[in-house]
Amino acid sequence: MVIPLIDPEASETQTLDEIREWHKGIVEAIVTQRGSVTAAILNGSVVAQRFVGMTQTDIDDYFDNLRRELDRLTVLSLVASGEAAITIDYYRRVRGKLKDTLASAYRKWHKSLPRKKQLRPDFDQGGILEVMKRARIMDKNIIGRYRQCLRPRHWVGHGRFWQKPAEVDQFDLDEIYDRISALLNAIPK
Amino acid sequence: MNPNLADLFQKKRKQAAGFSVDWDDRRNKYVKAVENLYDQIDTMLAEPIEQKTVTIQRRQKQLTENHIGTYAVPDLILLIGDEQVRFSPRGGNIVGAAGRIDVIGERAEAMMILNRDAEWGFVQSRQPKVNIAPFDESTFAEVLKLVMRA
Repeated sequence: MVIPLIDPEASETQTLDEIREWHKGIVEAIVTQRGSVTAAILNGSVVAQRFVGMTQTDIDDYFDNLRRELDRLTVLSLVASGEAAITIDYYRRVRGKLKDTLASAYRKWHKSLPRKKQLRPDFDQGGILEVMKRARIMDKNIIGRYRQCLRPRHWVGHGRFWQKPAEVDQFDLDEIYDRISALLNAIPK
Repeated sequence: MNPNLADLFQKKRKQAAGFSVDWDDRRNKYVKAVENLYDQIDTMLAEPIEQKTVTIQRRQKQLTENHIGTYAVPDLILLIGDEQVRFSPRGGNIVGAAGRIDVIGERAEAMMILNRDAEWGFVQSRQPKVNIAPFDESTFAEVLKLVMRA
């Protein structure tokens, strides 16, 4: 059985809260800059050259776009952080020979995989999430609700070349955060 | 009204009192600058208008801006051959400028901005550095070529 080594020293995983703090910081910077550019209309103060010639509507469109992009990239980071946490936990259970239901299910499935897949197992359909669901260690709706977050994540992460999934506009960051947290918290320690 | 809301509005009013803008003056200067520009264009095009190679029209429209409100200002329409070029005022509340007019052709658009000395210029580039060419017959011709079909 092949289990890839994950070096915690070399990785740069982020927690959901770290990502949320980063998002808050950038939002504050955007709000501050929007304020100073808007004020430049009133008092003629100097701002970055890219803003020269903008009307209030242009400013609003520009900063609304920035904010929308930030939120989309933050969704990508949050969902990817959840994927990383689930995958790290998966290898921990497979390697550690733990006795709990989830570990047994993971190990059994891992052994059945071809060598290549053992190094990089599928995550969603026919993958780790499917095994987790079959192990019945949590309400299956928690997994289903997390899976819906993968659609906006994939759309952003793979270059948005297909039609925008409805979830991109339906889910705000708090919703995404709550769904991922619910899943991570439901995984037995 | 809720007292908290009333307090907030009073506080904001006091803060704003330290910095006042004469919005009517700003609007009037902008509208005048637009009219001056159109008069300059009229003069520049006097000959082709006489020869009927160019037709020029002013079409009144309403602009609405924060603080200033809604006011009337004309678009300038140039009909040149089978094409139209429209000078479309965007307002006097502009970052880094005292006003803006967009020049909208059938191939492209260009931007004119009004500096604090009431002089119009064409924005030739915005990145990495804003480059503005003063409005004269030469830059006017350049912009028409830029926005019109080849």
